[in-house]
Amino acid sequence: MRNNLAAVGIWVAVLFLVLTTLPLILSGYWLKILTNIIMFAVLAQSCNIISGYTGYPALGNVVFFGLGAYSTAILMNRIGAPFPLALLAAGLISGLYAAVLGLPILKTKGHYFVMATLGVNEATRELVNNLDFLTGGGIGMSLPIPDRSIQSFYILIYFTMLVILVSCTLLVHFVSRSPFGFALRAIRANEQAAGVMGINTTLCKTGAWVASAFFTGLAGGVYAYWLTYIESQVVFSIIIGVKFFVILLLGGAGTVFGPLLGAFMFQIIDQFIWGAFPEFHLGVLGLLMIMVVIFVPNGLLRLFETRIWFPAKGLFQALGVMGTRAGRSEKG
Amino acid sequence: MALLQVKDVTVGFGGVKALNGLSFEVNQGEIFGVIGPNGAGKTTLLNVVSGIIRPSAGEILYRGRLVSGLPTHTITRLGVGRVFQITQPFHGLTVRENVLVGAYFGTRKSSTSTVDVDAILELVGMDKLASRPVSELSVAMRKRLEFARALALRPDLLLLDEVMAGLAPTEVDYLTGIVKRINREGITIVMVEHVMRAVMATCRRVLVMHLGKHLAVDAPEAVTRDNRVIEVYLGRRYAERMAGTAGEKRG
Ligand SMILES: Nc1ncnc2c1ncn2[C@@H]1O[C@H](COP(=O)(O)OP(=O)(O)OP(=O)(O)O)[C@@H](O)[C@H]1O
Ligand SMILES: [Mg+2]
Repeated sequence: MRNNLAAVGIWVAVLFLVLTTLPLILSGYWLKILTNIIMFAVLAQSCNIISGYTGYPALGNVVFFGLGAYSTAILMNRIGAPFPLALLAAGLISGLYAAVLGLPILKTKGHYFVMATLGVNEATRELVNNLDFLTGGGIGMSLPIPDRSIQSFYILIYFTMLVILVSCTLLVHFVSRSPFGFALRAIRANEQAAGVMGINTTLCKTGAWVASAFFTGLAGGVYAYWLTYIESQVVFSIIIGVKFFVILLLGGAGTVFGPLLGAFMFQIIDQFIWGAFPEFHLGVLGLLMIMVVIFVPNGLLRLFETRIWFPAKGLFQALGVMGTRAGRSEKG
Repeated sequence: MALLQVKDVTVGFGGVKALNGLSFEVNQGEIFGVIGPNGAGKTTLLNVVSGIIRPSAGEILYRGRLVSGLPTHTITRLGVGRVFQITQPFHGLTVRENVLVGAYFGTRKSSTSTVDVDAILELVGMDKLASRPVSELSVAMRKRLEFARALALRPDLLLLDEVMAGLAPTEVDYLTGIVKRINREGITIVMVEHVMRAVMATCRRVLVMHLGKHLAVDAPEAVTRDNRVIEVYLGRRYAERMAGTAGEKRG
């Protein structure tokens, strides 16, 4: 157990070092890809809270991404709020939206919940489209261009995204071992029994969704500032929702590092293997979905732990035993 | 005053009335049995007491306080524990964590120091299985885990739904022993049970239900001699066998 903890510690330290130095030496193209990986890791990690730990498949969570993007854009463009303030507000607005929606929607389960969140996404997009005076309607909306060099701007965006990823991963880490985390896992396993065990299921589910929405909204806000132009077709796109959901399943729902691993692996697959067929991008997503569900239903993280890590440990042990035997026979 | 008062409670599912104007009282400190044929409404009764279902008419009072309509977790925290007929363990959590959930959330004080999870696991003989995932447990062990989890709530009133069903006689005797023991320690028990062996061994009073209605409330011995009860539930065979054994004893 302690060994395991030390190993995780070393991994995290190395990862952190790589993620903080890499952007300083990468070219613009690769920095963009790395930022994209981090963004999808945030989205998958946020989804992990409500879907992985609590068992509510929030495919329509992309609504908070769009809401965060539009909130940031509106606050910066119409009111002239500085980016950090606009971003924080965007997170809070998304969280509030989840709190209000949570009460009716989290009463539904399984497929019904999926459909309800998708419905909310469509309805919200329509609303945004029709509030022309605020959102620019179908034309989209541009954000103020930052007055700094383009390279330093992209590095700023990268680090903002990274800070968000670290915060929500830390949150998931601490929640997963707290009583609140136990409550969420109990709800995922059996909601009725959870209620009978004294868990206020409505409050816990809503809390989980609010946290999920907050971080998703932040990611949306950074995305808007990053691209300096947004339109509702893009930021409320269900494809984004499907993508971070697949990443979550690929990496391992209900694990702390699964979403990070998933985002990284997904980008690799996207980049190197099927990147050659840009017109078949959605097909790739579809194929990947099918393969994940069939071959790694529990995610890569758990697969690595059981199929690769344990056999490797067994091999080392076997070698160790053989070594001591050989030593003995030499003596004898 | 009775610990639990059920007054004219009716629960309807579409056209079916699972409970139909049911009334009875459970006193502090007793082991109260509930028997009746399949579909009599026994599980529905426990669901309505623990707040999973709202009654369409009537009211339920716990310690004189109206509890029907309160959310499940509130009723639990008032001191009402529940063991399900079909075991509902939290998959993905270990045995100990399953019990810990009850300790964290079920008690009025939200500190675990007041609940000794390991002592509870020892009481139900599961201390050696503490770190196992629940998926590895046998049916008998799952039943015991349900029990342990409910005890972690520190209930004053424990609702048991057919905990003995499908268990070997030795296991029935083991659980019966635990029921008696926790009752001596002050927990009032409402026990829905088909296994008459357990009912006869533990209950002071038994409610017989039929079609969501109250058929009789009496001591177990008296109930098994009641003609109406024999008619709808125990059956002629049971009565003849009981009469037969009595006859042999006399002869
Ligand atoms: N959720 C439900 N929806 C519709 N009908 C239900 C529901 N739950 C129970 N019923 C019906 O209510 C009646 C009472 O069911 P209940 O489960 O309370 O019986 P029971 O006495 O516990 O039976 P058993 O001994 O088989 O456990 C039955 O006719 C059942 O079909
Ligand atoms: Mg039943």
